[in-house]
Amino acid sequence: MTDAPRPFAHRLLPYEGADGLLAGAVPFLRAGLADGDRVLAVTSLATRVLLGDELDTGAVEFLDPAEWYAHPARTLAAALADADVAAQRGGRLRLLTEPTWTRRSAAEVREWQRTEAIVNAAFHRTGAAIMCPYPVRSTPAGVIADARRTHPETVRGDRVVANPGYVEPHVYNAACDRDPLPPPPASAETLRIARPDLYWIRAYVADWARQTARLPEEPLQRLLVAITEIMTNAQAHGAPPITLRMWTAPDAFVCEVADGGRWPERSWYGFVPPPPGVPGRLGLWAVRLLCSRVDIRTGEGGTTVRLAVDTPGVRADAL
Amino acid sequence: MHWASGNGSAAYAEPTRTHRDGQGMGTWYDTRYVDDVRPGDHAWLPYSGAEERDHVVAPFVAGALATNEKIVYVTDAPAARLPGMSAFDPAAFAATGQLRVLTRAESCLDAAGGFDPDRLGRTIDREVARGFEAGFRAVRFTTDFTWLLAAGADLTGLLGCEDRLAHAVSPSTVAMAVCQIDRRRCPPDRLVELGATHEVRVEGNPLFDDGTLRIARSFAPRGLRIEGELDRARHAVFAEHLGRLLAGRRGVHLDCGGLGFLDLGGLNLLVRHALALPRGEALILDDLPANVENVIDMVGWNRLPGLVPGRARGARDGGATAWA
Repeated sequence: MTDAPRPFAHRLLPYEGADGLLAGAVPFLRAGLADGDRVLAVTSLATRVLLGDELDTGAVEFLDPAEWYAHPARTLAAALADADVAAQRGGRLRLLTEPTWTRRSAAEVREWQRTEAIVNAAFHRTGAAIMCPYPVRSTPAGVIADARRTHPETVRGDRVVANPGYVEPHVYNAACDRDPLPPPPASAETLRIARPDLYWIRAYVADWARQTARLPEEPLQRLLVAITEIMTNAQAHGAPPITLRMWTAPDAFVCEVADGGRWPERSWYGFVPPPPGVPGRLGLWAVRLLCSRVDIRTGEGGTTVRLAVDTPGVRADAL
Repeated sequence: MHWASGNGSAAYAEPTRTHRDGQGMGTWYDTRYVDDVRPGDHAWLPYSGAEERDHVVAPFVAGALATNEKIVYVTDAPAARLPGMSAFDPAAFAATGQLRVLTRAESCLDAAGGFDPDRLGRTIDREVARGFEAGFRAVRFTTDFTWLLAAGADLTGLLGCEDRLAHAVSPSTVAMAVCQIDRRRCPPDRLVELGATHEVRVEGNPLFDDGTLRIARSFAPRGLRIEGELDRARHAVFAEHLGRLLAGRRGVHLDCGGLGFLDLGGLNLLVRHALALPRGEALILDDLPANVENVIDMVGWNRLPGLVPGRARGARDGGATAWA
């Protein structure tokens, strides 16, 4: 017999001091251990020690926040895969994630805020239980306010209350992309593509990336797979003209594909990996795994997909 | 020099495809598809089983009969059972002299029943001359020399014979030869010596080859070899051949050693076919180049149900030349 799907929960725990953290997190973890959930905790060492004093954490898997918060798409995809597996086995994934908001660029903070919103759409099918403790004192007020838009519920003492300001994930996601992308540099290598022959496009990109940008092979190969996927999409669903641009930015190689088509409303733009078993499952979300960043803008003026792979240590002397 | 190539007749004016050489084996020879073997070629076929042997020998035999060329096959097996004969009536072709199936006793053994390389040389010279006089466009010769190894004979006799064959065939504008050898019965160092006496290695015709992607059967282990780049432009043809391989239960290995690029759609295609396999079976990706493997690692093998990494890169010769 399989149990009915468990209700998905994604709760914000704004707290002040260790007592506030433990008051919310301990009952959350304890309930998971009692239910036989798979329990993961992404916390600082300090929080781990505090939790260890309060409950038997032998069955809790602690993960390193530095690793967890390295790449939004990869982290979301990995956690979602775990949640799918747990759900298939009739169980549940329970996740305590303590985001680290300091020392992050504005763009990084925005991507993690977006991820908080996407989580609601992505994990719903799995019935996962997720709690995000935010330290009120050390977190910018704007970030806390935003967390109330990306979490359906807030934990307050021993009560759970709905967030009146919660924003539907599609709407939140669209708001993240309201600003246009910065224009490509004038020096960008530009290629107008009349008939997309993927073989020659790859040869062209690889030549330019190797010789002009000195992009190492490993990121280059990931980028070639990513570009091929985007060009294949543009060929199948987009509209001419298709333009390919490449340039080097500090510590990154950037490649964008622009076409005259417009994507359908309420797309997830590859932010939500499909469940296992879906035919042709690898797609845009896998492109997000391969690249360091993927930015998409679509509208009246056409669609632009901008792919970047980080190249730490490679001199961007080709501009 | 015995590898000096003879001039091809007009029918072979098209340049042959010489797509790989044997330098990796520590020797020198061109590798040619069986349909591209031409007069002057003294070729060898190291095979790993009857299926692989027939995959090459059948088109060699059938190709002769279908194109006004004579075929000389030295074997003790009956003509009707030879590879490539299924669509032909041996008696009809034997009557015209286009098909000559000679027993070892009548072509290459001495009075005491021992192997006589000189006699084989004379047999070939005679058959080539007769074929030429009879107006055949070319004369193809083939035999399996594995029995010499099985008989425990010293390889020296065979090497001398190959040298004699090379002298008979290479300068010729009419003759071509394919020497079959079961590599499982031959020690690797002797195999290299044997290979060095030929200037061409013959392999089966590819299932598909358009210059960008090449798909061919592989036999040790059984499956397909994919070389070049696979993207949406060639998904359909690849799916067709992979589907046929799996439906015919002809192996689940993909030799990816020459795969330069594989797109996400290609991975989806592999997963789709792998999931249709009987429970517990997987598609095995052998010899993955680093650039393809890195991408798969980052996508995650766990997201590719039914696909497993196989033999590691570089193990190719160690595995294929294993002998008993």
